[in-house]
Amino acid sequence: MDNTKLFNICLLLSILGVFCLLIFGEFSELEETPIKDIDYRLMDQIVKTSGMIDNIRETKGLYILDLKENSDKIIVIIFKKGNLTFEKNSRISVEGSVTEYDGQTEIIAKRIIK
Amino acid sequence: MIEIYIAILIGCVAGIITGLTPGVHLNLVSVMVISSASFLLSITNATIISVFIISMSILHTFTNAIPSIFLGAPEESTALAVLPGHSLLLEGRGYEAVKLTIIGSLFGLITVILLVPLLIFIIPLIYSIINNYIAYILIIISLYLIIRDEKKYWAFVFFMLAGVFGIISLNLPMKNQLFPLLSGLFGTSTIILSLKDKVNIPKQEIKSDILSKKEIIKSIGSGVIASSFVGLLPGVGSGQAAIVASSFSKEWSKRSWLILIGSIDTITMFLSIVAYYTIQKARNGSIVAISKILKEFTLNDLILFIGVSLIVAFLAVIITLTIAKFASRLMARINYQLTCISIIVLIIILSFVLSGCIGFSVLIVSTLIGVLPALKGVGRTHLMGCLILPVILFFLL
Repeated sequence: MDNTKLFNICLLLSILGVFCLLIFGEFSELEETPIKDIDYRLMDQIVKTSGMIDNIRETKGLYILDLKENSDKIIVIIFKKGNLTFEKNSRISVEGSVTEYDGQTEIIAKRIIK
Repeated sequence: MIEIYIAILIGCVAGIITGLTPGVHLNLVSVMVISSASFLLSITNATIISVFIISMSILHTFTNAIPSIFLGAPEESTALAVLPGHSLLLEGRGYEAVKLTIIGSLFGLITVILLVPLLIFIIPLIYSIINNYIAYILIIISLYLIIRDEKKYWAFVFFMLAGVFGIISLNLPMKNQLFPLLSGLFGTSTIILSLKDKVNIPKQEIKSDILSKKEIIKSIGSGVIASSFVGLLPGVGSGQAAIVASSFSKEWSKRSWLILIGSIDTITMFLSIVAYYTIQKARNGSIVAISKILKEFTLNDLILFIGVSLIVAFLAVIITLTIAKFASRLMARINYQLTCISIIVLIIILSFVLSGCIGFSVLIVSTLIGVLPALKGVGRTHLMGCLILPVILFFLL
């Protein structure tokens, strides 16, 4: 098989593959991880967790939420875009990547489900 | 004192294992260390455990060139070493390719250690200034690299295709996202093309050409500057630092490129220690582990870790060259076509084990994308868009 034909096939298949994984990513659900199990061991991994909003802080570009489930807490960082509002003691689900800041484990939120 | 040397030796053994085994990340051992911290602290102290972690991490940055060059199974930091490394392997110079990355690692480390007194003051400054502009810096450099390519249109298409695929892959619900992504883009795609072209591995020579001092200085200098400026920023790592460094010169020979990649990996690792001392930010799993164990990171600790890094670097050169020599002799005795197929099977199995069925799907698509630049005669560096585009969007959006 000559290179041009092979290139066309690979290009077509890769675009198709990218598209399929995009659709799969949109519809796939992450398994829920309890707040107590989220620590440095999951650093850089994408997790989904849920809990009650225990505290809300707001800076110029961020919302910083304390998410609580039983006695376990985790900080959730949300970059401001659009009209987001949060209420204390309301329940939310968060999907995002686990990170560390000043020795504390945090989730950088990618998706919030109220 | 004897405990420190024992910790260094055990760290070196762990570094050999993590460096040589594709998919076994430093973070895995760091997590194991933290998990067993209470037991370890009952038999030794926090400083000794930290010495073990530093030794393992520095040695890892030397030995991880071997699977990239001989197997085509890279990590983020060695992805760009696969192609020139493989090309030298096909010339019978796999050993030399590894040696060049070691030259980069060793001299890069020595240079950056000499610069520590300066870096202690500069890192906080760089961090605060560049952090706000990293997206624009990456956009300008990516555009420059695309414009510099003879086939600009295709270079742009491949950068965007890899970039979009990177964004999708990094958001998929799977673990170890980088392994199937980078192994496909830079590893299996290279091996498949070798199989297609029916190349054979010639007898490997255990020798290397003399490099000009100018080439070494250019590579190390670029590595030090790029790693210091971008290697420590959040969301940015040695892969992006390599792209920044590549824009410093119009022409990179295979040899000087391998020195550059080797230097960036080790410098970024060492600088993460200095950064933790200066800005108290842990930039990788090893430093997170140290931050959990060491209550306070003092100047004395920094000086100890510099000494440990130098001892480990000396040992790493001997260890890595010995393993590379052994691997070179082994390559000459085995059937290359069969080896290629075995390596592809190994990467497929590892993708399944590390990232599950989704990881396997990512490996297939990334392999398809990985063969495109070679078939079109475009530089494969543009595929680093898979890591650069997500970072650009992270900072811009």
